[in-house]
This record gives sequence, structure tokens and C-alpha cells, in this order.
Amino acid sequence: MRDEWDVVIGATSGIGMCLARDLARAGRRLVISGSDPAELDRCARDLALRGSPEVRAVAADARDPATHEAWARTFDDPARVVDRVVLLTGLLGDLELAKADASRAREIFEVNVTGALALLHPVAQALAKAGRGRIAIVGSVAGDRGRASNYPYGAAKAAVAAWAEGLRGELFRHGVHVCLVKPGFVDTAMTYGRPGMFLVATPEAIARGILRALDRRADVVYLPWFWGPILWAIRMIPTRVFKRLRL
Amino acid sequence: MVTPIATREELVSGWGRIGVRRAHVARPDRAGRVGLALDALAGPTVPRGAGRGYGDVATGEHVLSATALDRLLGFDPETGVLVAEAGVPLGTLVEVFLPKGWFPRAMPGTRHVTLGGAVAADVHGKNHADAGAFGDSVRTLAMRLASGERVHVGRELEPDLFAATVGGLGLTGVVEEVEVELARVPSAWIAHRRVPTVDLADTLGTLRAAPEPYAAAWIDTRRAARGRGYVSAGDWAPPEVVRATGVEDPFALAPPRDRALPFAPPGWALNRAVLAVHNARTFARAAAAGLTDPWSFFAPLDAITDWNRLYGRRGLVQHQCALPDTTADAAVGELLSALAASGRPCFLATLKRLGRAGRGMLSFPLPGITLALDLKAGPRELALMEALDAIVLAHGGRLYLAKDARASASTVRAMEGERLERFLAAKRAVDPANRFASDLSRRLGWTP
Repeated sequence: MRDEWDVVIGATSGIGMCLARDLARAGRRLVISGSDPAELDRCARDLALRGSPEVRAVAADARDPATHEAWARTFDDPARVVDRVVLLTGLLGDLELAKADASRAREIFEVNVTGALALLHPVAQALAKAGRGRIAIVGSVAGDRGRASNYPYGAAKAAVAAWAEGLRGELFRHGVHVCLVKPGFVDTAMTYGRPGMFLVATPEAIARGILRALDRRADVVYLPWFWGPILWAIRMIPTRVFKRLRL
Repeated sequence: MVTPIATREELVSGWGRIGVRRAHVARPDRAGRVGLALDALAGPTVPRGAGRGYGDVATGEHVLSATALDRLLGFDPETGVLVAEAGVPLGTLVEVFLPKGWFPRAMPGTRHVTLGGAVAADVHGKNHADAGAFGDSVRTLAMRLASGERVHVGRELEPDLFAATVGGLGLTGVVEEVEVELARVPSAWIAHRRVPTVDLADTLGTLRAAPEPYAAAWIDTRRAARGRGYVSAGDWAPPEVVRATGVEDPFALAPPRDRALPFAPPGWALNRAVLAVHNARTFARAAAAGLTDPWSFFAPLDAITDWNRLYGRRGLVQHQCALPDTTADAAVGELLSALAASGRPCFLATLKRLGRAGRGMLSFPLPGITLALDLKAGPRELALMEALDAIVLAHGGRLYLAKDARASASTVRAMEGERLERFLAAKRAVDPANRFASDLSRRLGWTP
């Protein structure tokens, strides 16, 4: 019986480490990636000590296509059987900076959309070839509607949601499941100090929710669940009213 | 491009929930960002772990939260030496390494304390007389100084800075990594005994005579009770004893199960009447012996996550002192008399044995006995604690600063004496501008 692996893309992040640790504690072999090679190495050591029998760490930066080849080659080996894949790569960005500097706006799309999905691509291909596997793509409630308070990020996450939907249809024929996860506010370094947050979840709770969603083979999941009804209500607001709100 | 670290404004306090104040907090998510976090805070900063210090030891205008620095970095299964980031809670060490047969040499009364906090307070456990304090098992520290420099310190490497940092309450710099020796244990269960005692002499005598490495005493502090209570003593159970109870794997460890209070109880809920009922039940129990899990034995209060809220909005204060062997019996007697005379209810009173002095310049332990008293934070309690301080000072004892919220600068100076001068000199050498300061260091007149 060949060894099974789980893949965490963006493992050095707040949610990523919680999720990778949950998997390590369950004795899972892990392939992890992150953009900071030194920190990635520390995370790999941590995961091995917490119970992962084998951790393969590959530094890969969503913004830097030069790093994508080594990442893709990790999945060339047909002997590596992958079960779960979680894509966490993201960047919240800053609205004012993005408005002032076009390169910042581009960066938000590069990290959240084009770069993240480029990192997912070789793994998704490997799963399709093997005819099995489950992918969780982490979007955000911000993608449900373009809000004046952070539309570059919201637009990027909306793109991720549409991509996930298309990918889900394509991979369904190959026996691979795709789940889109939409967390609300989460207490991590990315949101630390941001004003206006409420109902903030811990990264541990989100990580558990992602793994449960994969086990249930859910298609689209809000985490925690109550963001579902909240966003439904927000989506129902007619545009002529929505444009007047300071959301 | 380096993104600056964000800070946020938060209300912070110690575990006693008094002296709540606004602070600018930075929480770097990796060790490589500690320098950036210090830059973002740009003012006198105190490092903070789990915030289990009872008073103002980890509060200040600027706080560097180390809780996200929580990677385990290396473990040698031959020697039990672990290297980990300072934000790792001791409970994590237990969960990961006890199933492998290893346990911290010094385990304090809560599993939430971080490695950095354990070093900063030089925490001790029920086995101090046997195994020393936490700092005694620390080999080296990696820390970031006020200058921005990152240094390694240890018993042989920069010994002065090491001795200033162990028990140094975070005032010498930010500890990023800790290299600590864990102890081999024969199983994940404690064989314990519980012995009721009839008066203070019996309590102290039974505590001192307990042959087990781990021992502590609980006292009923009401005057009529005359210092009766019970002594709890234990040691790791041999694996065959564990197996004899039907447990297959002597190292299997169930995770701790804590519950949070369902609502914030009002201050009057904890009062003399409730205390009387609680004491009557607690101290009436007969002798017992058996096997217990490590969570219940080492950290029974952790079972209620936020037990400090039982004290209501006013909060609680703890008076913990170390008394030298030569004067301990008399001192404890006088302290309990003063407590009884004040009429203030004391909700928890514990005694432990202390062995050698700690490794740090300001380490709390000294050979003798430690007494800890939990009180509501009212004005009469605070007045009582002044009187208790005087008794401690008169008997050559000192206060545990990690628990202190209110002692005066002159009292602490008198208790610490030369040790404080040595510490302040060592601090000046690496932090002349007092980049690291806390509400405690200001209160005690150590920093502006």
C-alpha cells in the first residue's frame, strides 16, 4: 500500500499551521509550501515533532513563477498518492495602498488568484490523473459582494470562487472533489489590528472547519456557518441601496 | 518589500483582572518578525506570554505578545533536550512529549504558561525541593536585545545575561527560543496520596516528611480551623502499576478537558458563606490514594478555563512568599494569624516545599516553604497584604513578583537587597535606555 500525503499550500500562515498541525497529529504525511523558506523550515520541524512521519517542505512564492517549477516537480512522482489539498495562499492587501499604487493592486490579484491557482494547478493535475483526491480552496466572504471597504481583495476572492466552481465541474469527472471554503473574519497576522471586525473566529476553528468540510465532501462552506445567512442577507440588498452603505 | 507589523489597542491585565489598562500590542507571527514588532511598538515594551502572571508583570504601555511564536524546533530522544519557540505553552510540551515518556522538570500549577513565561518567572512546581525551578532545566536561550542584536545565552555562554533573564520578568529582552531538558518519566499517571491534617504543625510536618517528590498542602485559613488541611503527595506511577488497573498503554494520555464559566458571575457570588461550605467539604474528606491523570494532579484549577472570573469585577490578588527554613514555621503561623485577624475571606491557601535558590538573579525560590493566599482585591485585603509583607520581611523572606500586583517599591527593595542591584546592573548593560519596561518595573521603581 502506497503512502498517502496531504498537501497544504500556504502552510506558514495562521490557518495553515493550525490545519497542518491537525493533520500532523493524525499521523499524516505532509507536503507543505510557503513563501518564506526559513520559516517554512521551522514549520516543517514543528510538524514532524507533532506527529507527521514525513514532511516535504518546498518553498514556493505565488508572486514568483520561477519557484513554481520546483513545486510542480514535487507532484511528478506517481508513487506519491495525495488525498487532501488545501490552498490557503492569500493576501489581504490595503485598499488605500492599492488605490495609490497599481503594482499593489496587481499584487493582490497575483497572490490570491493567478499565483495561488498556479500553485494549485500541478497538484490538481496529479489528482485528476490518479482519479482521486479532495481539494479545499480557501476563498472569503469578501468575494460574495464587492464592498467599498476592500474591493481589490473582494474581487480577487470572487475570482477564486468562480475558478473553484469551474474546477469543481472539470475535476468531478475525474473523481476529484473541490470544496470552496469562505471564512469570515479570522484572527491571524493578516487581519491583526484591523478595525471594524466582528464575530472573529480563531484560526484553529477555521482549520477544523476546513477538514470537516473535506470529510463531508461539501461543495461550498461558510466558516463559521453563520456567515452563510449573513452574506445571503447582504447579497439580497438591492444595488441602489447597497451603493449608499458604508460596508 | 517588508511589510511593517500591525499593532492593535487592547485592554490588558494580569490574571487577577485588576489594573486593567490600554496597551498597544504587537503579535509577530514568526520569530523572524520580532524585530519588526519591536520597531512597530516604538516605546517601552514588555514581552507577554499567556498572561498568567497575577499582577502587572506582563502589562505596560506597549506589549509584545509572543503567543504566535509557537514552533517546536528540535528534540533529542536520547537526552530529552527540546528546543522550541518561547510562545509554546507547557501544556503543548506535555501533550506532545509525555506520550513519548518525557515531562518538564518543573511544572507550575497551570499548563497555559508559555516557555518564555516559565523562564521569565522562573516558575516552580510541587517538586521544587527535588528538581529545582524551570530555569534550572534551561540550557540556553535565544533572545533579542534592545539593540536589535540576537544573542544566545546560557549557563556558560553570557552567564550574567542568562542569570538576569531567568526570573528577569521579561526586562532584559525578548526570549525567542528556549533549549530545555525534559525529564524521563515511567508512565503518564501519578500515584498520589491525600492525607488530612489536624493543625498547622501537622500540616507543615506532614508536608515536609512526604517522601514523594511532588507534594503540596492546602490549608483552611479560618481561625477556628487552626491551620488544618490536607497534604497531597505523589510520584509517577511505575508502568506495571498502571497496567494492573487495566490500562493497556501506560503512556496514553487523554487531552485535558476544560470548561469555561457559562456567564460572568457577580462579585458577591464568592463570599464567606460559599467559602465555609467549600472548606467544610474539602477538608472533611478522608485520606485517599490512587492513580490520577497529570492534568488533575498538576493543574487542577485549569479545569475551569476562566476561574479568575469567579472573583467578580473587582478581581483577585495573590500573596505568595518564600520563607527560609529557619523561620518558616513561625512566619507561616504569624501570616495565618494576621489573615484570620483581618477577617478577610481567603479562597485558596497552599503551601509547598522549596529547595535550592533559583538560577536567576531575581529567582523567587529559596530553601524553605512557600505560602500562597488568594484574596479578593478589596481595599481591606490590600491593607492586610501590607501587614503580610512586613511579616515576610521580618522573617527574611521574599515575595513572588510574578504574582504581585501591589507591593511597594521600598518593601521589594528591602526583600531583594543585593540581588536587585546585580539585576539592575545586568539590565543596564543590555538595555541602558529601558526599551523593556513593564507596569511592574515602573511600580517598583526599576525603570521610569
